[in-house]
Amino acid sequence: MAYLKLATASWLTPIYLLMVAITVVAVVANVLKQRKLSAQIVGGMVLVPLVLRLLLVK
Amino acid sequence: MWPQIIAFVCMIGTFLLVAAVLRQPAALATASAAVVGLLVSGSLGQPYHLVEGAFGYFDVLLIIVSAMVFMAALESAGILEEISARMTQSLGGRPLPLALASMLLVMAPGMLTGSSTAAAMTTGRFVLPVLVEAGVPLARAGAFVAIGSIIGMVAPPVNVPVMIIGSGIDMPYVGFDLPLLFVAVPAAIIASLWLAASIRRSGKATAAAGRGAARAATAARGATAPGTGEPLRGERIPGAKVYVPIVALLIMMFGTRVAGRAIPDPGIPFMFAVCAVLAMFCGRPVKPWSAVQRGVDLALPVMGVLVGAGMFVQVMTVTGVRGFLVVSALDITRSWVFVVALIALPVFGAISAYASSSVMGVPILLALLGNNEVVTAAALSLLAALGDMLPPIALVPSLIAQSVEGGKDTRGAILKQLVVPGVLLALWAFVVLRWAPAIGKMLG
Repeated sequence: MAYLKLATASWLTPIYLLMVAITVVAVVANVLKQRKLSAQIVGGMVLVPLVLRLLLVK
Repeated sequence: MWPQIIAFVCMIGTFLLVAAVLRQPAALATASAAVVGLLVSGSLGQPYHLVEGAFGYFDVLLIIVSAMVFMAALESAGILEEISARMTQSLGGRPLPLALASMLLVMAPGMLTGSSTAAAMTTGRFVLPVLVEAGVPLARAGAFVAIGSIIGMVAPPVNVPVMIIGSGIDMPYVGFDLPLLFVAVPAAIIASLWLAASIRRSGKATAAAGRGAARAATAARGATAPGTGEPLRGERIPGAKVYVPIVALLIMMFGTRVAGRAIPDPGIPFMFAVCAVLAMFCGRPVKPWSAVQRGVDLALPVMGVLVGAGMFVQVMTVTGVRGFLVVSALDITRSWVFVVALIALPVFGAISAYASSSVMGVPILLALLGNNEVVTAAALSLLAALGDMLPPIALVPSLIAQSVEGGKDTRGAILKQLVVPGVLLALWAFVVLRWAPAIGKMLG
């Protein structure tokens, strides 16, 4: 309930959350298709702030 | 003071070891340096600083990913190819207009995304064969595309190094358009004159360049569209609809600024997202998810660098290294700060222009407070951006060389061609930096 309240705080918030969600899925897809470990780690690093922002944890 | 010096040396050492010796991505190098910094300072039990740092450039991260998706949509829809073909067909017989149009085309993605990589990997690849067709030697054409990519990265409306430097001293990204244009436009014109002279010398600046433009632009893309694997159809897109996404973007960007608070500003990522959707309807049929994935694939290395740079700066702040650098920079005689900026920013930028902006740009700007900070930050961003064409990584020349046959030899030849223009760009940045107050007064 608190999440929904925060996610609809303004008309732009759900749109931006959708953009972040699409980016998260695309980054995960990229990580899964990468063969190099370094590229997978970089993808994982990028996922940290994206997922936390998507969950509105931070 | 010694703990800060030891932590700083360890962090820079780790950074260089991972980036230059182990040849790992700059994102991993900055993140590794951050972890080592925490370890050396005895703060390894506080890993939340790494997460905190990862959010440091979150706004910039969203701008880059949405801009890259926009560029990927333009590319997949054949709009970039069509615009470059139209430009060169109408300007093929005139060297200077052709050079200026090519420069504008190369700069555009950099201007919109703040990334030289975006410019080199999108319009740069279309312009390169067109210039070769017009009679410019491959190495010089590659050098021109590299310079255009760097200048595009610095030109407004989006300049990521300035955003990073600004965030370090709580300076909003407002009022930078004119100073950034002042830095970028003369450099772009001189680079175009340099290229036009090459075309004239070759004597091939005839309608042949125009006739071959569409073919060359198509050839640059290979047999399939990059990333998506969709076969190229090569057919032209009729009408003015190819301009719709770009015009819509410009209207949104400038409309919100001109209208003030009358129109709510939805933010740059939102504008790019809307225009990416528009692009999918204004050209050839596009698979939307392929365009999104292609954009994210292109953006990921830069996003990684931003996350890593955020961690790096956060750990520098926690360990007191940042304060030590700022105090040391303030201790340097003011006239020497200009020289330090001229050398340190491009050299550090050779590993990452964004990291250089953060690590070197912020203390140097603090040391130059009162020197018109807006113009100073604009000049510092050009110095940091120059690092993208410096060895050992030479990011932009390497990307350009990869898109042509004989990549390794071409890279060396492009780097040789870049020596004089690179030095001139650095001197131009130095001039703007040194006389920033007068330039600021002139620009109002």
